[in-house]
Amino acid sequence: MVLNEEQRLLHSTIRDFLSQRAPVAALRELRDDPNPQGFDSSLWKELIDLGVSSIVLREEHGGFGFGWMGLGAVMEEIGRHLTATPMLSSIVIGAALVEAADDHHSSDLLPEVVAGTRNLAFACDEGLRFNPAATAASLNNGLLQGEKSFVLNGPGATDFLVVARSLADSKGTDGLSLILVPRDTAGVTVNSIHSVDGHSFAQINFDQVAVDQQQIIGAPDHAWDFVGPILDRATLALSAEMLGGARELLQRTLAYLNDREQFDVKIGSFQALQHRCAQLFCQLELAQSVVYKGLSSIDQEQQDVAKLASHAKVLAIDCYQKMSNEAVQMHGGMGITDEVDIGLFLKRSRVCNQIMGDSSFHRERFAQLCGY
Amino acid sequence: MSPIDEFRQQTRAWLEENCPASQRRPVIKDEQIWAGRDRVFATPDAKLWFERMRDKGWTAPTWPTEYGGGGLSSDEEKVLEKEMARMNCRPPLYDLGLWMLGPALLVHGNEAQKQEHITKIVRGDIRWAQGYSEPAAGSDLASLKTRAEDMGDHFLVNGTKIWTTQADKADWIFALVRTDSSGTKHEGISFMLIDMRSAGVSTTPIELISGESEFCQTFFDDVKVPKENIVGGLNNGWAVAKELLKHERKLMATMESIVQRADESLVELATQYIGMDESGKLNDSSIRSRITDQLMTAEALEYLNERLFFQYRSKQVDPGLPLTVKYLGTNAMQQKDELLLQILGNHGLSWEEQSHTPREHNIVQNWAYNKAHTIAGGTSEIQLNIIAKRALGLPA
Repeated sequence: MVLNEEQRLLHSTIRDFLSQRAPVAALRELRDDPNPQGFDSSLWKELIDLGVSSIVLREEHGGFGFGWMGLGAVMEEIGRHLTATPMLSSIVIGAALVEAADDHHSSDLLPEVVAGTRNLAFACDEGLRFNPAATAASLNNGLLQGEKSFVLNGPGATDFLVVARSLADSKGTDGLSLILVPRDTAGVTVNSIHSVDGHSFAQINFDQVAVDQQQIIGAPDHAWDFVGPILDRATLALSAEMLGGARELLQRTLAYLNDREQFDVKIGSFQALQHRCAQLFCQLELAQSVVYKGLSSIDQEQQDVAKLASHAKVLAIDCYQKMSNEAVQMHGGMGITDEVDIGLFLKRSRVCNQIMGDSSFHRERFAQLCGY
Repeated sequence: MSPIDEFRQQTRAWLEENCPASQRRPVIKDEQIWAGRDRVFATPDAKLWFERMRDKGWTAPTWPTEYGGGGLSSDEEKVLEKEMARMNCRPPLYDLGLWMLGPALLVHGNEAQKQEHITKIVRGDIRWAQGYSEPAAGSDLASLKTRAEDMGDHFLVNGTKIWTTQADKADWIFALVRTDSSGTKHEGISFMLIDMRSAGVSTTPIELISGESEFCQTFFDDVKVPKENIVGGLNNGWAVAKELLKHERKLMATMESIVQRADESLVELATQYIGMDESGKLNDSSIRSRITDQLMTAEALEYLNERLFFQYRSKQVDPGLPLTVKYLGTNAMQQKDELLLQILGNHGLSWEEQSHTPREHNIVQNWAYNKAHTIAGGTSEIQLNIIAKRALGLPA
């Protein structure tokens, strides 16, 4: 639950790189002058050159053995700098899914994804919120039909990993398949949407899209056996990103309280504000401990990752949400202006809440996993 | 096999062989093994368990063997704790000397003091009380007024201490006394060990909202104390006190698992008192949701402590992290108490032991008693002050 020397070096390398190459101002630029793919491709190329795209893969696929604790450090920095990249969708979810499926795609597709020449988006959500058990998109007689919402990295992806019900009478997460659909396939309509946080996602319609067996990733009808565990890992990585954002907010708020003067004193000397900051710090460290526990449990191949993932996501949501609200409040009038960055974190936190399951989803799942 | 795995295996075998079956059940208050000259054991098994652990030095597993401790490394101690928890072994000894004074004495005591007191603490021969707070010195502890006057060959102590835990049953007390009033209030304080049998020491129990009298007020009326009973040097008591407070706060954060009812499972209790529907969900959705909150907090605290352990071991301690433990731990304990009470419904109102089950009565008593934990050992508000200044660097 502590970074080793190599992981610490990776952490500081990524921190230095992002703070110089892609500070929060880079997101502002992307928001105000958007490009079609929704991220800066040359920045992403440079990050790939630093090795981030193979971090969690096995050595034969180019992994360096930094493990998920190492990935957590990278995600934390992405969270601190609000960096818009395909990291979560194409690598942490996409590449990991392809590797976990362990079929011919590992050699056909994976190297290109790691190199950044192909770019994956995971199309799972339908309707208003994440609920894979209610998947309605279907694969029947080689035809994919359905509507996918909130597809992260959808605007920039070259290929989609689509979750669809392939076993007609199946229920829940049984009977699902994972299907690789190239963007330019006939019947695929991608509608790009800018979200509140300056990032973008897509709404995608699959209308009678022809699919052959070669496009199915992993075992047909049993996709959730490997998709579920990968999403648990990705949820922990996302939680690490969220706490990176929360930690940055705390530091910025403390800096402001140590600078701003009213009634002839620094406002940071007021006990009403001190106690709130101290409570936020406690909440942050508590959530951080669950994230580290989860990431190190993956690295040590322990069994309880599913429960830890839901646990971590709930605490990360609560922490980032509270931290961002308090950061706005403690920045006073400045907190509600677009001039300071606080609002960008506030908005990002709400987007993160929706990715791979919100607080209600994960609280319910935690309770079920604990058996009550 | 790595040395630590070997140690685990040996420890497991030793515990299997030496911990009586009756000592592998959650401990109830009346069966706790408290140290003292007049030590009593609730059962012969308790005595056996205590003596075996004492002789192995495992009443104080990491203390040096030369004073009777177990001499274990922190990794070995963790293994021992885990194995004991796995088998539900009861703590073999309860004593404030073991939890608080000993660790401070190992740092600040001189050789004679260690020889005299540490060995007796390990052996459970002396029961210690703590004399810190005074009626007019609570959160502002350094304003304490109990005075120790230098009479040449001894000190003469006058004053009073309050919230002295079980002082009416204690053999000795470690106390903060004023030995100099000329400087700032933090200067001029000394850390003193006082034999409770000395002439002029008296105690009055304080009745609490829980119906118990765990705390006393202790009075010192011209009490003679030998000069060698100062720890850490004259007027240097604040440094010793701070060292000791660290251990006290750590203890209070984990009090639930050490002293109390770690066995009290929310889910089990809720299943029994509220019931489940046919899909296996608790019948009360609001309580179900609060149980989720509580479990998430409690388990997160375990991970925080585990993380802290690894930080200490790899010598990369985030200085702010240890400061969070007391605030978070005591809050979580009280949050759980409130939830337990709600689960019990009107059985959570027990005052007379005979009208309810012992378990119900115990839950109600603990609920009231545990209100002490966010006050004692530095209130939650004081903890937040410390975090704000030391961890977050906010101005005074």
